[in-house]
Amino acid sequence: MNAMARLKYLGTETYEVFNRNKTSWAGLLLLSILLLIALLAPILAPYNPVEQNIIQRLQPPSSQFLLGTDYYGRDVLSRIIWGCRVSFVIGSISVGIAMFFGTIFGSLAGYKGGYLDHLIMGIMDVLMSIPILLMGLLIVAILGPSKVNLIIALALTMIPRFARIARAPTIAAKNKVYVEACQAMGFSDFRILVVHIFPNILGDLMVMGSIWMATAVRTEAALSFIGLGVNPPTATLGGMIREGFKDILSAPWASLFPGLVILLIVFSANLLGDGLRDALDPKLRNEN
Amino acid sequence: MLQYIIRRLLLAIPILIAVVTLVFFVVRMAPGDPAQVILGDSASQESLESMRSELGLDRPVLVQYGEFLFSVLRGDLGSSIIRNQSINTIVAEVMPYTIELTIAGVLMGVIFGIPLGVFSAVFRNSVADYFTRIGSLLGLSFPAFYSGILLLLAFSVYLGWFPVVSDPDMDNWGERIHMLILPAMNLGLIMMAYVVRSARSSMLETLGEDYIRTAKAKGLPEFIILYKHGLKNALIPVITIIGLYLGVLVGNSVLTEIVFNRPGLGKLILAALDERDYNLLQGLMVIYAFIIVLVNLVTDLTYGMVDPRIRKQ
Amino acid sequence: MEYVLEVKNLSTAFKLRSGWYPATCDISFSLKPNETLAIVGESGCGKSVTAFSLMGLLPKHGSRIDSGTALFKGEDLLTMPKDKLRKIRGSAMTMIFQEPMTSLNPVLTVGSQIAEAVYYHRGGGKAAAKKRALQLMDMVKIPAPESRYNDYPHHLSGGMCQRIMIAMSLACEPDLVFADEPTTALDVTIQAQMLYLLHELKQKQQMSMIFITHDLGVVAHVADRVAVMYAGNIVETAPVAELFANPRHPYTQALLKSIPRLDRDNRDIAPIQGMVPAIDKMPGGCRFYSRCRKQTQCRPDEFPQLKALKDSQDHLDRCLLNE
Repeated sequence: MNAMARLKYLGTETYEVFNRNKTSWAGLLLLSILLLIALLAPILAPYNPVEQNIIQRLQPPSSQFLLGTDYYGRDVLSRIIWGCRVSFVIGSISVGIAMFFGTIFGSLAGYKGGYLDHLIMGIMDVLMSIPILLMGLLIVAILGPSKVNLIIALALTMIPRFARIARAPTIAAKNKVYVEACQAMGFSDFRILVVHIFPNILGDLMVMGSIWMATAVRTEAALSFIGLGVNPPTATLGGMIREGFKDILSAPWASLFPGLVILLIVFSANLLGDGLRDALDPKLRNEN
Repeated sequence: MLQYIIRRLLLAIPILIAVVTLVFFVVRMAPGDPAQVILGDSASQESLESMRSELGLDRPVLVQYGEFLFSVLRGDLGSSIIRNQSINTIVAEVMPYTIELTIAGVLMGVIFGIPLGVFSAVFRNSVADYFTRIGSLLGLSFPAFYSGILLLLAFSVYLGWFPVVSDPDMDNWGERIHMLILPAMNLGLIMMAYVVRSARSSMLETLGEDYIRTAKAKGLPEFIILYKHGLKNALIPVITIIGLYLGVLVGNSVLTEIVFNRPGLGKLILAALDERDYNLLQGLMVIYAFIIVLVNLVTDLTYGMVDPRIRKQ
Repeated sequence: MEYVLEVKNLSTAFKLRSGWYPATCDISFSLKPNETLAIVGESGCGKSVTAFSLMGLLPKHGSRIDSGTALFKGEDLLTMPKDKLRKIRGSAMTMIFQEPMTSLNPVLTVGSQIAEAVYYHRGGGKAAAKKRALQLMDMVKIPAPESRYNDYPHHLSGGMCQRIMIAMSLACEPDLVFADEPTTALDVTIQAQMLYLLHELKQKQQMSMIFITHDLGVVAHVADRVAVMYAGNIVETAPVAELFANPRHPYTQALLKSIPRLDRDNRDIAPIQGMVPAIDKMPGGCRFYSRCRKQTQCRPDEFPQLKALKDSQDHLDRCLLNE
């Protein structure tokens, strides 16, 4: 099969997988809406998210400021929209990087086996002994808070998880007869890995990608809440909660709405991942 | 069985050593000079240097590393430069709070989560099952600090059942438990979400096994089939879930301590970061890693005890 | 009671994505005390489904019994209250399954699993149940039952596990035992042992057996009567010798022709052309019509009934051409 045909096949397969489970559609839909909002931030946001206006600080929701204003008089809705952007950027890029490197390490470890396998997975095990939030804390504390550093921090926590995910199907696939045949025919390892082994991992990757994206967004929000997120005045969802916490009783809208949006992003990513997982799991096929 | 225990113990040690190493070198990479933090910005170069040598910071890195490693192996985490106290002492002060919070949270999650998960599996695809599934997914999507804030608002502010500022008096047990409930609930609800899902899927898989059909064919009462045959097998994977989500649990407990203003290891970490107290930070990281490796070990061993098939290996 | 089990017009249906479809249709047979009936057929023909529907083991979702009666010692299994059926199940009417290794609970000792059957049906306390379990283990020829009692299933071989299953099924001296392909998952050498054991036990215990299998060789060994099933129907029933000597239904005939035999020149063995129709594409008339070699003499639209042959009351078949 040539590349075009194979892509088309993958596309139909993916569509069919989605169709099996309504949850994955719901998740995808919700996530897409939120993503769209984030992408269209410059157009959608009614006000400038960083412009302060002390006169109108801590205003409750009104027709002028749909979700109210925060301590510095900034429009909560606009800040939320821009904050979404930050969350999506950091969340998706970090997952993407982690997926890329994690898959390489994991499939390499699984394919080569032996010494290399033990070494790579040993390192991964060590990395996984440190809780995600703490790892993030440590790295941001060292490198300093910025979008790039947050991405690096999150990616580092997720690489070992993806490596683990990539390793098992690689080992299973490696032992299949057709791989032996390929090796006998003199195919390069690289070709075998990419063309023959990788499709086996794809499904798991899609599932885990969604689920870890949820975790990445949640962790970024937590780091921002602690004060280690992207620096103010940039709007981040977690940062907004941090700032709004002190006035929680007098102006709850400043922290509650951003929190709700974090919840929605994380929930939709989880819905998507969960739905995909159910759709791909042969044992659960009979759930209807 | 003994062989299995010994093997697992031996595996844990190199991991611990590696973690200690990782933490040591990573912390060393952080910006900031402890000497400067102590002496202030206007300190002279000489006093800085003499402070550094007093603190032992001018020795070769490997020597410092070796010293640290050996002291950890002896159980001594070193001393905090900033606070000028033994880290062991600092940690011991707040450890009870963190432990009681974590245990309460995990217990809550497990005690309520397992029956709910089993119920969900038995009444699969019913309305209650559907809501349980969505609910648990929602539960684990909550950022722990957000759910904490919501709980605070609902129960402390509006209902007034719990104090807003937590200042646990160590001796008054009633008060102590009272202050524990809300933060424990925060941890517990999220933990419950994970447990429900794991218990449900595990139970579903177990109920589809051949030996359940045999048990039915033997004409055993329904609840015997469910508990003696089903649950006993289904709980095995749930044990590992607790180990798996320990990382999330740790993160959540740190956030919970912040939101509810409870003393504990989590707040200590933040303080260490704030004060640039890298010795303290490194000590705390070692503790956390140690706890995780330990808990994983315990869950593995429990697994071995509960599942006779593992023991054979 | 003349018959231990009298099944009349039992029909079941399964639910697929597109709706409910009939699975087994019009299953009728009778079983005398101490008789062994073999139900033979290809995979998917409904033999296990029939056994499960009689035992009340059909999955709750996605399957149902549409019609029929099944009188077990005079009482209808299909309409009796669930609790009553449960009490019969596992004591007077028991079942042995195909995969012994996975059919035993891995976290319980094998001995306790046998004792369980005794304890929950006969009562009498744990000690008495254990004693009976050891007795049963001896009966099924398990060496050193005392020490084997505390073993777990993964310690035992397939053959041993199957003996445990048999012991479980005999715990309360059943009147009827279903054996669902009990030897299929075992080595051929063990198969013979197992069949001999079952034969011995049947003699000693005085019980009836319904033996489900796809292996005609096994049938020849164990059965008194045979019922041949195809696509959810019983297509022929006869005493075993009669069936092998004088098969009347075209399917049975084709089946016997497709097996190689040592005492025959095998140049004319022939597979049956075509495939069993899918459950959602079942024809309204005779289900074997599309593969029948006598197709040209027959008509596709009429559904044949199971009728006795003119010259033998004992031998029934479901074929329009034999009426």
